[in-house]
Amino acid sequence: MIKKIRPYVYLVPAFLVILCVTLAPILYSIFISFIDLTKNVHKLDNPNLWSFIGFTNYINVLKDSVFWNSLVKTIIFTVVTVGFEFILGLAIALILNEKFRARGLVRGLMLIPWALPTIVNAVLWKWFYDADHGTITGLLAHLGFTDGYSNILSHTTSALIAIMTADIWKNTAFVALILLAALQSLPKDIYEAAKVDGAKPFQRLFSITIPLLAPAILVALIIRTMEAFKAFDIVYIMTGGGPGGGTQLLSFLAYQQSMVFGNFSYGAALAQIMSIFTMIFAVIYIRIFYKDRG
Amino acid sequence: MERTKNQQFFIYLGVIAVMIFTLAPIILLIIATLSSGQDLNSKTLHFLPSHWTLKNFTDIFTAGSNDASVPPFMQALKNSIIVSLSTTVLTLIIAILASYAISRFRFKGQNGLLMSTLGFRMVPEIALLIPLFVIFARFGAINNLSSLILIYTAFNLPFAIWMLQGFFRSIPKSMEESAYLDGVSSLGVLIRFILPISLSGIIATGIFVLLASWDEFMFASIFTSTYDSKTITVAISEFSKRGMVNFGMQITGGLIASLPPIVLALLFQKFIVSGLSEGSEKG
Repeated sequence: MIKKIRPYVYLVPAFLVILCVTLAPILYSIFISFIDLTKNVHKLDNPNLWSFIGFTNYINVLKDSVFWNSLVKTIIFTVVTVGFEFILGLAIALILNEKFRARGLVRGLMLIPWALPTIVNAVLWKWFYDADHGTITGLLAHLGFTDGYSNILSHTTSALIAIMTADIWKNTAFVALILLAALQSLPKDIYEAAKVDGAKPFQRLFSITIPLLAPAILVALIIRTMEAFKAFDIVYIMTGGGPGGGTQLLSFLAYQQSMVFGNFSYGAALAQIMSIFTMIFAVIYIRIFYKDRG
Repeated sequence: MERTKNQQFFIYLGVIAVMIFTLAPIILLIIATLSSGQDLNSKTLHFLPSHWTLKNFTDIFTAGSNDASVPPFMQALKNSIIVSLSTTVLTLIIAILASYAISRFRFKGQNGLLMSTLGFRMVPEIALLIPLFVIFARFGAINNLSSLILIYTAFNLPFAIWMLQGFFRSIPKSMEESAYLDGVSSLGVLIRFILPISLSGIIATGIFVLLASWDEFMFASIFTSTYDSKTITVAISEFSKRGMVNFGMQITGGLIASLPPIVLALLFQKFIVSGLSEGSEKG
């Protein structure tokens, strides 16, 4: 009997914390998304004022052009940042996998962007893009790309590009670190065999290295996709969602609707919609994990 | 693999490009913290300051002492240290117990439990921010470091359990079995055998939790509105809110906030890289 309950005893603390601070809030959030809280959050405190309105909050979100704009921006942000992070990260991992002097030091320095707090990264890049004294703003003006100092963060397209570059710089390091670790665990003799067969470097890259790296690449891509999909800090600091919703990613929209405008029902419904997207990623992730293990 | 002279040249060219890409923003950040406000606010492109100064650092360490509209940086630093260390210790204790059960015992719902752990790791934070804010505000648990510690612990648990049960599984069971025969309790086996062997895995997991809680901003910004409770990320974000943006303070605060994670990352480089690749293999 004791043997049977023993594992559960060890699980109790974790179970209690996850139940109270994750599971119950998720259910509560689903509940909030089905009741009408317009203009009065305090209705939540009084069960008599709860009016269930079915999927109305969800329909309101799906009918809102602001939501669709935000979804499009989030997809652009996710695809572009993850794409660049993968290509740059793979290139960096391949270079750092070669033999060169001070290799340990160089590999160590790659950890810096990864370890830099996201909020600091956002502050740093906001300063680079500052309209009056930003380094990048100044460089673009001096090199003649822009007509004098321009306010990059106040134009829809350039603001989105600006927040994407900030994200790409920091997270390329993460992808590079994962792929470098995977590269180091690859068997060396395969390459020797390919060399004897006369395979050219690029052929080796596409026909040997990338297929062997596939599990690590997929996991890096999925982790980055999920993170990029819910990016918040960088928007909050660099643009505040502006200009005119140009950088209003989904997490920021849900935050703004609920915490700034007090529209908790809309925010909760939007958060559920985001969770559904994330669940799709999660299913893909778990499938890959199981396929990996055979 | 041996490389020709020509290939060597391109490798070094690549390494230099990688270093410029990685370090240029960091070097600009360090130079900026040593520049005067005048240099930072000038509309000319320059990479070195007209004169070097430590004024940004003296400003930040006295922040809030004579101007109530500026968040006191030292208090925020202290709060962040308390929150991230407490979160790490609490998360590790709870996760070690749970991972021990998952990796060493067979019980009903084991697989489902492991999969739901993975699922919880993927819930977007914003989906929890709304209900948690409503609940914590209702119970008056806002502006309280313990609330942040509890929330961060809950966020980090799924990841920590996932990592640790992987490390525990890789330990052979033979030693424990003889210990059991000698009458050692299951908790004794955990403390005497499993913990010492998996210490490197526990350290790696702890560093990831520490960095994640040090980094957190969205919850901290909503759950703390008094200077007594604000964490370092919130303080940095607010150096810009009051009227004019104070880049000098924001960037200097940012550099100071970056030092602990960067130093930890460099010190425990091996653990982190193996942790990242373990994590990428096991999820």
